[in-house]
Amino acid sequence: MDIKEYIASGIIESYALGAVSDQERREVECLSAIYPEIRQELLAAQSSFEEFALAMAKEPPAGMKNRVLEAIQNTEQEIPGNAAKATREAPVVQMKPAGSDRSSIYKWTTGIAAACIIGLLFLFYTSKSESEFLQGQVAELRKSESENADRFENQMAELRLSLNESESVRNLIMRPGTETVTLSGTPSNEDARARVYWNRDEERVMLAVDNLPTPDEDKQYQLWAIVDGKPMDLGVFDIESAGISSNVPMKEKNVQAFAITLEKKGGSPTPTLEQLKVIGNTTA
Amino acid sequence: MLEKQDIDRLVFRLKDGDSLAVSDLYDHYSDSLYGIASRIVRSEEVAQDVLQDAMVKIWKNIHAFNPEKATFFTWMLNITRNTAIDFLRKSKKERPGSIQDVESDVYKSEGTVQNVNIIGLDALVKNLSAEQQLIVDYIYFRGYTQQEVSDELEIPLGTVKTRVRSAVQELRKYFSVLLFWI
Repeated sequence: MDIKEYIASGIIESYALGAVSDQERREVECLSAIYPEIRQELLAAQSSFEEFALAMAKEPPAGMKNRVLEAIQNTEQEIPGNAAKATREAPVVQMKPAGSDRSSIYKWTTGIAAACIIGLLFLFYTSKSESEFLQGQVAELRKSESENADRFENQMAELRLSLNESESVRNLIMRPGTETVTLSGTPSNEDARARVYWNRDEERVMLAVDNLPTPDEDKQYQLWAIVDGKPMDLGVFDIESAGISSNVPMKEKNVQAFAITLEKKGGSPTPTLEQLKVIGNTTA
Repeated sequence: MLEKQDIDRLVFRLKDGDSLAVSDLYDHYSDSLYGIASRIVRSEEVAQDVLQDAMVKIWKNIHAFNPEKATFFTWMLNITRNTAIDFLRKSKKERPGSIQDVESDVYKSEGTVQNVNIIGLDALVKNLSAEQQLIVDYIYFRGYTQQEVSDELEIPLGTVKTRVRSAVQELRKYFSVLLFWI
């Protein structure tokens, strides 16, 4: 490095004037520890300001000293870590003018140069491993982000589906001509409840389950319409999907009642009457 | 002024937690520190608070003093200066449009500085040009960065840097550079 050029850049003066950034300050301090020429320039510049301060000196008012001493009585010194004891016991190192003892100064400066270099290498490696760590983090984030995106998409699709369903449910319920038939529990199962929405003109039936016990694995509920005294199969359904799967066409106009029985999985051609769970009459 | 050995002994006693050493410290340095503090805050009353704060900081942080970076005197001057500039900024924030702002407006409108007394040390700084004095005033006594000076006075950063360098060199020329403390 060209020391003359560095000195000529004016940075040492700026340093002494207190007008450098933190980075520049560290740089000047590091270099002045390595290069006696820079150190000498620095001390000379600082000494100008010391002279400056001496020239401005002004006696504080009389009571000031006691005020300061009192404030210090109440202040603990900040002792950095365990180094405190060592600092106390260590002899004060006498500063020597630059150049008075060449060989020791060079030894000393070499040591400091090495320390600076080691420091820089350390910074370099920490920043490198830091950046590798960050890259890993970024990749992980990207991955989880795309997973999240997938999940959101699925949830959106589900929501859209259930929105469509509830819209069609609402449409049917709200439409004029739709009749609500409440199916109530039989004496063996009085709490059971379900509703059937039936629109004669549109020839459609929809089922909403309010309360039906969960069937055994090998059983399924089956919906029937009683037309002219005879049961007519409207299909099997699972409780969870009731209201959707049961949105079925139903051409018959002359329905007296709707009923649900518990049948073997897949349904039966005729209802098992002992397994009648709920039934409700239409207004017809 | 203290000889180098005396300063070393003083620092040693301070580091040892000897509060009596503070009395010696005060006797030797309070004039200089008070001078720079009152120059910066321009109020006797505030300067007294600054001096007290600065002395407490010197006592509290004496273990952070590193003789390889600066002389003890420079280290204390910097602490005092920074404390004073903090006070100045605080009071400026509390009372926007205070004297300082009016002054800088005056500088701006006049372009060059007529008042050689801005540093209050005309005998000492008479060798500095008006521009150099202004730079020293802004940076050393008001804690502006070079960029802020450049913005405030509307002169290029490079020019600010050149003036900093020439101002400090003039000061050095003027003061017989006696390196008391090395």
